[in-house]
Amino acid sequence: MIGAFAVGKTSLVQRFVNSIFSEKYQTTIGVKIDQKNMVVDGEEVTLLLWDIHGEDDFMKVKPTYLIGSSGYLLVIDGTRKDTLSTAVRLQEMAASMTKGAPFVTIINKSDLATEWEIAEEDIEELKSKGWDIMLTSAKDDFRVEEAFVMIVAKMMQTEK
Amino acid sequence: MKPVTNTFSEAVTEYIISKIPPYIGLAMIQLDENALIKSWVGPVEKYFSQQPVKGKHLEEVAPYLFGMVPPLVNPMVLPHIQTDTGHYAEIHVLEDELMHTWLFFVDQTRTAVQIQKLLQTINDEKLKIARARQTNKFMGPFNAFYLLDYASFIKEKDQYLAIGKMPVWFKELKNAHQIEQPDFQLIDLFPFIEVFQYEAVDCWEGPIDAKLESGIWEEETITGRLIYLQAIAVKHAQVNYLLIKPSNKNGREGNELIQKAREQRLTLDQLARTEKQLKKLLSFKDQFVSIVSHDLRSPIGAVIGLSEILLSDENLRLKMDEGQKELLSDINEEMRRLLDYNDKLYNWSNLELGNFKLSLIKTDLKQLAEYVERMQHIKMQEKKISFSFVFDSKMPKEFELHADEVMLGQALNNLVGNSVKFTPEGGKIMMGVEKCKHGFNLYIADTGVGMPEEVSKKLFKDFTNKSTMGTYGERGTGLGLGIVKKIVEAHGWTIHVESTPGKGSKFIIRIK
Repeated sequence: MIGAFAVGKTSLVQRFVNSIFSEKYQTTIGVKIDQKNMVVDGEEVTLLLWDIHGEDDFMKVKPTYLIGSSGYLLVIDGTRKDTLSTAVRLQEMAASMTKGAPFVTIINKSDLATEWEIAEEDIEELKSKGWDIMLTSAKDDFRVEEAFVMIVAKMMQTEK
Repeated sequence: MKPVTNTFSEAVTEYIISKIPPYIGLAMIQLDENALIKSWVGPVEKYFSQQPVKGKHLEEVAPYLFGMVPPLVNPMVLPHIQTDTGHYAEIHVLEDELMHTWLFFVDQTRTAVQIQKLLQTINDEKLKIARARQTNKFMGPFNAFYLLDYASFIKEKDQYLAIGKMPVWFKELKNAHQIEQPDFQLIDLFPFIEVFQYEAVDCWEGPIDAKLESGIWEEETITGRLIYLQAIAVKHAQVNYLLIKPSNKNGREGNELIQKAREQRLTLDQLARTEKQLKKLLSFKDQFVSIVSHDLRSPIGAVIGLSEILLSDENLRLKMDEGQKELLSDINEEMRRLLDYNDKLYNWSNLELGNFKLSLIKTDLKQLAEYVERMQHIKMQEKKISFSFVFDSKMPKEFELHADEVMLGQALNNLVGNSVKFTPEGGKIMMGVEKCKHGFNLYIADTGVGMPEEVSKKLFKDFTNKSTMGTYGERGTGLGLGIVKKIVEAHGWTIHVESTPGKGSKFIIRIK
């Protein structure tokens, strides 16, 4: 899980792994690793989820955190446009560190759609780069599992 | 015991006398040139498990002596040989001039046992030292680091072996018990380490003592508490270590700071978004006011025009009584006031929107004063107010004012209008320009009612929501001074007021 700070990475993991959501913003320090067993395309897989702290001027994501990653979720906050440029920068780093591992871009906080700063054109621009985009809400449990299933399916496809 | 059948040769006798220790229990066997037993003497049963038989080959009786006869060197002495009876003997093998071999067995059992004990002790010590050395390597300087809250491990190839005891926090971890399992893998417990070791390789494989700190990661205790950990790769005395400790107090304080800073940042972002939305709303409001006031001009003008037609129609006037005439006159007056208000509203909203462009030209202040006087002439005449223009004698002759004549005229007209409103009958209004410390002041002064300081201070701050009644009961729009301020500031100047209640006010435009 990579992205700018407060985009909802931890909330997405908590929603997916423990089916819980907290309104309170709790900044992630360092890395939190969670595990989740799931069945994708009839195959049982164990996901080791690295919830990496958000990037900002205070904390930069260490490129080495991405070594050995089979895939990643790039998370953007739909209500904060600057999180998109952070995501673009992190994606470049991740692509190089993971040697092109698959990824899915999540634009989170769809429950706050009225406050969105990310326009349809921005999403179209990302899509034109070949990025897979999922609009999610960790709060409303909207398409969270689908996003994880999507990245796992892509990772499994790459493994084969 | 059988007697020796053959006597010793001189050489053998000499050897016995000079080389064989005078121990009781000496045994001796004589062999022929084919190593067949010829004779023996002494307690041979101590050294042979079976009784010697004359004519038998030595090795048949004592297999442990295989290869000793004939001796490789003559004489050959072999100390501390354990016989098949469990005794120890020093065996001397001597070949005489007749090619017969003599074997002498000197009992060394007692000394051997003593030596063995000693050796055992020595070897035990050696082993202990060797083990200690080995153990030391595992314990190293980090053995007691658990007391400082470190979980210490030594890195041996791909394995992490725990050293010393584990600190309390480690035992509280959800899966801490894994460490007891024989196939324990540290990276199963801390997957974070799997990645950190990629970084740590440079430190561990380097030629010198070094250390490298990891980032922080989060683990959960059995009670569900979150704990932040940090790993340190250490190379010391050619040994690689991995230490893990909870993120320290300063770190936690730092984390709290980051949390607060990020929360503030989120709040600021939210505020910025709200400000943006508010500006958008305000702009919308100004546009709305501008459009409405523009569109209202025509119908207001039409009503004024119609009322004037009616007022000027002599036939109609003759048919109307005085009350009706007054009502018609009031309609005209109120509509003119409404038009004035509407015009100011239109000007003000356009100034707010920035819908104007200054065209600066050399401006003749005297002409502007004449214009303002003309505009306010009727009202001043009504109140018998005198108006004068004063060009200060200290002003340099080369003084030139560059301004937007139309807009400055509007501002001065508003200011003079304001003075007329608050100046009682028979008062004076002066417009002038004077030199001051930082440049020039363009001012409008009156001998009006003035105002207290608390009013003058706020005059240009909250101007839009209030209008004070004039000395003749004149009503204003509350927009006049707001428009003045906008126009003055658009020129890059400032405006303020000096006023004394009962004496009058002076509005000063500071021209830089």
